[in-house]
Amino acid sequence: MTSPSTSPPMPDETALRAWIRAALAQALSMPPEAIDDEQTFDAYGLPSLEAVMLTGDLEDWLGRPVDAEAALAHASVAALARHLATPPPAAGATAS
Amino acid sequence: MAAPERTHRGSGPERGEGPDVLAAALAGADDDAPAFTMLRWRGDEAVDATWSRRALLDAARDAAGSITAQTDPGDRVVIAAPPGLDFIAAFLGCLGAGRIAVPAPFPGAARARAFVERIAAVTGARLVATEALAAAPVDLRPAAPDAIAYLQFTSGSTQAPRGAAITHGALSANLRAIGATWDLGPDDRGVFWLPPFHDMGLVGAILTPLAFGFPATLMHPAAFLQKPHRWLARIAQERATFSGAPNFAYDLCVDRTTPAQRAALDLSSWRVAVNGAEPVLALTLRRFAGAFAGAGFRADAFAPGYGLAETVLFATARRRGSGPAMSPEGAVSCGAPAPGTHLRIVDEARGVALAEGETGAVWIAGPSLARGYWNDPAATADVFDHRLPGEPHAFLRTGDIGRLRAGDLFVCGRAKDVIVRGGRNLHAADLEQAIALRLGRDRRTAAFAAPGPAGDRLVIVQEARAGDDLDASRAAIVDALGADCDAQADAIVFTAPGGVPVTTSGKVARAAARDAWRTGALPAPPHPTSETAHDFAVDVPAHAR
Repeated sequence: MTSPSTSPPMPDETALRAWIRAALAQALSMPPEAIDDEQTFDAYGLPSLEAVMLTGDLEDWLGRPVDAEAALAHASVAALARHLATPPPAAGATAS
Repeated sequence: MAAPERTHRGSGPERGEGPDVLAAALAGADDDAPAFTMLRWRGDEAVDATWSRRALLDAARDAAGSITAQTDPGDRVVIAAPPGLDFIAAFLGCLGAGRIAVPAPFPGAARARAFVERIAAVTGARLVATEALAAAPVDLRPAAPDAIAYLQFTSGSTQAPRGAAITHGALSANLRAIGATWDLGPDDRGVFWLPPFHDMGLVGAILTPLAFGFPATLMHPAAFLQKPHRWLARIAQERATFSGAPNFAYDLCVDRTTPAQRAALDLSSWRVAVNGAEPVLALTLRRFAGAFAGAGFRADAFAPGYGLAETVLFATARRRGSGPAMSPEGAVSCGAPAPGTHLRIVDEARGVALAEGETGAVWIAGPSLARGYWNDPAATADVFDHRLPGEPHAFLRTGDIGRLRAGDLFVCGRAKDVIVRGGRNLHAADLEQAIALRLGRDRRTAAFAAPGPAGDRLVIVQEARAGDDLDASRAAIVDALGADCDAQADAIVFTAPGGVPVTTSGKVARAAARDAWRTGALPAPPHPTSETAHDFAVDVPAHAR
């Protein structure tokens, strides 16, 4: 169990990109090196349901809440990594 | 302001009184017992917000005051608050104010925004409520059974959304059938994550607990998708008895929970595990029952069901405690028709009912039927008010194919997904499944019929990725269809990843795929071969096979 009040070490944007790229590659059965970080998840044919599931796995890895809509609002490897690397606002996002 | 076409349907003696949700809400005026709890998640911690029946009624009165001030009786009000307590209060307030509710998704994402705009236009809605409504409260008033309570739009149909007009009487009749089939009462307890604008989320997760006086805990669908364990853990924690979801959710629970998570659960309280709203698969039931047997899940809790928005929610289901049943071919029984519901298997070409065991179109009559589609007489005439010789009832054509065995319904698939070839019925889902086993699930496939001069042509649209050998893929498809389904395609068309359209829940949208194929709108595959998508389809004459 992780508590949202603790602050585990935060992977930098490069590490975030690598993790998301690997997760996307696994979901799509593609080699990670074939994925273009700037291309949208949609263009790769990732259903929106699976994009939401990805945020659940991200929560487990990061040990902190990730908004369920994050992968829909920031829908590429680069955009999602940038979003997650940006410190959240004080109130924090909920998965509501 | 056009009302749907009136018919003489449903006024027979079987139209009985069921629990009225407004009366049930009103009965809670002095009741501090919990009605609904909404969970919000921060990581693995849930924050609860609970409303008593009294608090719910107060909020519904506030909403009724706001709606009364902004609209006139009979106006449509789109209820598009996020899943949660405000949605429920606005919905009840709308009904109690004598307005027609139109449940809708929260217009956050672009796709949901477009859908809400569309149905607001189709219904001529005066108000779109996306947050809590509050003004000087007014009392909720019961409505006449023939008055329309709400319009249930089906999901994924943004091209031509159709709103089934649900009367207060039909809603009460369906709730009564749900309560009788699953023997629900104040001792039950529900946990759900279903979206409140879908029939299963609205009627099953919200109105059923309200009508039968038991508390329910709700969470956002995205919270479940992120971590399916959250749903099951809450069922265990609350000793819940009543919950349900579409088939895919039970698969997700197996695929996305760990053995350690499963071992820590106690699901022995769960007595009615509804599986409905999409085809119920025997393999899914077996996998879930196996994975969660150690957590105390009882396989006889499974209650597969069948229904559609046009029957409010529920048309057939396995009764509480009877467990699932399979046909010799391995199909899952969707149970017997609800009390008061008449179900026939029909040969639509001849217009006659078929005998038990024969396969045909599923027709339904009874007190739960919608009155028609809002402001759409053509679609209403196509689906509603069909007759059978010697029967007094007006039947609904469900669009599904099925058969009856020992009084139980077995659904074979959507009529429009059945491809008739050489006198045989091929089911699109079977063909797609056979191909997926060869090429992988990550490349989507759509199988559909296209009318040709010599009957249906079978068209396969297949996604391909960069680097795929399309000749090898084509050979694999031909082999899969021939070896597994004894079928041959008239056209095999490759398209880019994402080229096969899907619904929001990731299901293949075959009609949309057919439209894209017909109009040449399919995106070309990453490395087109000499046979580009459209050329191949045109080059193959319908009579060539």
